[in-house]
Amino acid sequence: MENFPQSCNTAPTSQTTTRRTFLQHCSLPAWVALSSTLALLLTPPLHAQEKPIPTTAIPLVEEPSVSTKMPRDQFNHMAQLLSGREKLDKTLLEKAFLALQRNNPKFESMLNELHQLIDVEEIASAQAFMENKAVAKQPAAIECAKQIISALYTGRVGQGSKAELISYEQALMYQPTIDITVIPSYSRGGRDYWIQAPI
Amino acid sequence: MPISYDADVIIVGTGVLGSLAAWQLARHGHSVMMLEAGPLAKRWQIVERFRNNPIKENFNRPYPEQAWAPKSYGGVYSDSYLENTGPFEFRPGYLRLVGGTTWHWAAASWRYLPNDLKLKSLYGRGRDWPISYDELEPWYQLAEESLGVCGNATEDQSGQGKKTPFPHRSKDYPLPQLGWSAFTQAFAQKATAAGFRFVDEPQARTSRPYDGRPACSGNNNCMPICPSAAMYSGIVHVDKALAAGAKIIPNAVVFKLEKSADSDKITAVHYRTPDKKDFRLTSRYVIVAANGIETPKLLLLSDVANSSDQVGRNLMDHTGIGLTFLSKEEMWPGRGPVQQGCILNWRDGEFRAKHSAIKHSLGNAVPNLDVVQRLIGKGLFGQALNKQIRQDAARWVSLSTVFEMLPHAKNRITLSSNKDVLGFPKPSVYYEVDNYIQAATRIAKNDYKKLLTAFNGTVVNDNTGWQNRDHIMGSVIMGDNAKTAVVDKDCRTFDHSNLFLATTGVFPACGVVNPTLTGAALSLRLAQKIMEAL
Repeated sequence: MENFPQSCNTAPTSQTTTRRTFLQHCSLPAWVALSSTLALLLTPPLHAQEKPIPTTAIPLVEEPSVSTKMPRDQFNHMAQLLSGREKLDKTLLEKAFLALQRNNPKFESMLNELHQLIDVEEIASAQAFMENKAVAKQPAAIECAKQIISALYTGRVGQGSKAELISYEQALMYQPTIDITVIPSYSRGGRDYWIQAPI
Repeated sequence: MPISYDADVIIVGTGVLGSLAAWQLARHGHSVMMLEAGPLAKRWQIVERFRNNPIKENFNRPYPEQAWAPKSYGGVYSDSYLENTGPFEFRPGYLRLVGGTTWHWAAASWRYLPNDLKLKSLYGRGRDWPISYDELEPWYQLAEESLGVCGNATEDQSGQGKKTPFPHRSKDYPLPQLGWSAFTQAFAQKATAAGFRFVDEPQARTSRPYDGRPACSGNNNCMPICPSAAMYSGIVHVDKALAAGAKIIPNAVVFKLEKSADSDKITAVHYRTPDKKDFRLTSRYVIVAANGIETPKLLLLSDVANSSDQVGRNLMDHTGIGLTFLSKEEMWPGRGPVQQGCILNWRDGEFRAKHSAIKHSLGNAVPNLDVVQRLIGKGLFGQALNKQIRQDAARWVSLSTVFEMLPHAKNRITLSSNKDVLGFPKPSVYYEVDNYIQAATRIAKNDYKKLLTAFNGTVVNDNTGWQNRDHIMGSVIMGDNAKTAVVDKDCRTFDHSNLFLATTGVFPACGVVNPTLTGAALSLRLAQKIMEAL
């Protein structure tokens, strides 16, 4: 008997079929194609539980159209989860998202795949993301996650002439050492502060 | 009827060497005209451009980019300006603006050793300088006082463990040694215990308020821009020269030194403006102070000073390698200025007959960008990432190793067939690393092993390949013979009695210490020679 893969053209019929088991038997692109319909049918998506980003306080950013709200919310969710921070500066998030969009034409689709994977695998923390076996088999999803976290931590997106600054002082990479070292060009210590050991 | 001139002295280039000469001449009552290919920029503008620059590692990027005077890289015109035809991409970071490249440097201000100037006669390698340390000493002192150098006058800076200070000095440093960061102290202690001789780096950075500059407050941003002016840059002496009556014309690209029809003199300097208008100025003396690449380029373009066929040849840098590792113990780099000391065991000795001298310089820059990029590459996220950033940033040790290159005729700057927007040829470089340096890498890598053992270190990168060190030397080489050198020991061209070159490009042997202070001493000295003749 030929071992055909289970068809993905039928919706789950059993109450015991979870989104996780469903995904395990389907290719990711096929799942993505169905995802928006299924997500609405099964449970409210996570982004629906979040407050929309106020855009009036952010200069030079156009009011997002209906079609872009979903990726933005996905992005904010991923940024929070992957950074382990519930509170992230909204301007930083907005600028990072727009820069990643500009820098990589496939970013939104990569983000969507990453978000669905997180959703299906019911990943709720950065630690769970790092340890998840299904994630480990999805290099594109990991790459997308790295792009998001790199933007937030280094404060920049892209290489060479395409490089864009998102933030300098707000880049998250300085926070873990902010009690010890300066953000270069922003001295806080005064003359000779460096002579004494910091700890 | 007496000939009238536009100025006593025209100086092409306004970096530290050109502006020091301008200041020295102007304050003694001589009329000085400074011509600068690039524009004038304010410190605050450069600081803002740095903060808004997405590629913080690129020290040229925060500086103005202009089509008519490209930098060595760091912009749409600059990135295609300096061409390379050899196996090594020779691309020193240099700027084109008023004040020059010491806007971004780490301000290391070393004197050469007497033996550095006698490499050929002592060790049979390369060339000797035609000038001795004793002749240079008073000019070193004036240069240190002009730049505001802090240092430790009690150490043996040759790294040979002598009990007495070396090289000898007529006076103490103008500023006391800048206190070492706890990181530098910890490194020095362990390295010393492992047999290394770690020496304080003299630096043009104010350990106390000096000459209108504030004391260093440890912004850790010496490269690419000190926000407070505690670190010296050439703009200090541009301002002093202007206050003493010198004139300056920015955005004036000098393209021709005009030769006299009936004497050996340079009679005029021609420059082109961004709107492609040409101007001609005359002076009794001309100093070209346009760095070690732009200076030979101008001489070649003008077909002057090259009867020896040495203009553009003998190009040298302190071509180097690097080591980055994580120490077992917390050390916390990134507090205070970006570098404070070096390992100098291999600065001088009989070994120089066989292989290059070596210097390992300890970096003290805030490492977070390098740390976080490495950790994201490893796939860390969330709290694990934050925790590891702190862990690694506290242990990040970065060493920059330099070697002493020898002068070789084949390593040279020529004029490219490609032109810039003003219609002038771009500089083209051929450079390959020599066997003298290759032989020293085995020694340097053995030092790396000892250091890794001493610090119980985990290697981050011990295979960098050859790296630029931005110290351009040899390209308008100094000597005592007009047939084999471009300038004499006064930095006067053999071919033109009124043409002087103020650039580290005159160095015939390069040691392993940063060349700027020696260049500054030579520049002050050549200004004196011109004053004596005026």
